[in-house]
Amino acid sequence: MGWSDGMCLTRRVSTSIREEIPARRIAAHLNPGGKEIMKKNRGLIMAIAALVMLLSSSGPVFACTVEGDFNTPGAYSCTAEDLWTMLEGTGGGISQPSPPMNPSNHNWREGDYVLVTGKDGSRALYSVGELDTNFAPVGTGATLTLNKKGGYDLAGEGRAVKDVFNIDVVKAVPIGKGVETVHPFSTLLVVSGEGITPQTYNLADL
Amino acid sequence: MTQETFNASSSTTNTNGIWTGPTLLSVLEASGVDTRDMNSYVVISATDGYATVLSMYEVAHKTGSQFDLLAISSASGTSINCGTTCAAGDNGFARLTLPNDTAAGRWVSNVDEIVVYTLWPNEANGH
Repeated sequence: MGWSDGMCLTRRVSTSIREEIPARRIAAHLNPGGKEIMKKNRGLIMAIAALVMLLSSSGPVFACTVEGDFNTPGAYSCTAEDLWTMLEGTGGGISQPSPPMNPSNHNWREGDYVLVTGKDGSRALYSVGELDTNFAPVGTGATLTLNKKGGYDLAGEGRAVKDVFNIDVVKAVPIGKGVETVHPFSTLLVVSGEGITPQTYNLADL
Repeated sequence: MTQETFNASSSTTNTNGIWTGPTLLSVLEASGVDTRDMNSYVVISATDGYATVLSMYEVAHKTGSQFDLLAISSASGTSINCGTTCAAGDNGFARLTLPNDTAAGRWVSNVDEIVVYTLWPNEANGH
């Protein structure tokens, strides 16, 4: 037999009554005899109580999430180290197609970018290609360093983010060499983007 | 456009030599792209579907003394702009050359499309 609507209602009502008891006691203590006021402000009182409980239960834990295009998707924690080293060690590494294409130098990653965001709204955008030491031998030097407040700051290659709280790896374009069966030699290129009129260039233009 | 040269010496034989062409930065600027927007990135694609992503930062800044180029000629013997004499493996009329990439895995040959993406288009620049 399934869980009927009536049983659900009963549970909800029962739970609701249990939750109201401490709220009434708090209100009575603050304003004895003020049942009418208590009723009017019950929502406010409950909110204050919830806030007090939340504040008393949270400690000085710094939250920084790494997520995005990894072999094992999920939300991971940051560590204070070189950014590329951290990404290599997260979620089984940045995702690859199956079967892997050119696994020796990991071309598939070069369609991704990494966006680092700080609590103050500052951001840094890196292409994976400039972080990946398989391509850029010295990388960018972008490193997450523990700061005095227990958070992580990012610095490296002209970009900096304070109190990093999110790192997102985004696949901007799938990499697929030879995916097109016909690939004529290019004789012109088009530059486009948001807010600009597409421009076409041939050899003479360049 | 103003031509620059890049003398590449990498472990990848088809990239060794002297490459000449406009900087990618100058091509973007000529197209009206806001190259000061560091919240943007650039996708460079080839006729065969190959592509790579560059942050605007790496487009707008030098590696050592060198900007990224859209090479249109080569003194390395690697064919480029060979027209009807082109052979398989040719680079088309333009090849992306990246001084920062010694593996040359991001050196996109046969470039036919460059698309600039801005993550927050309505935001003021300067990040």
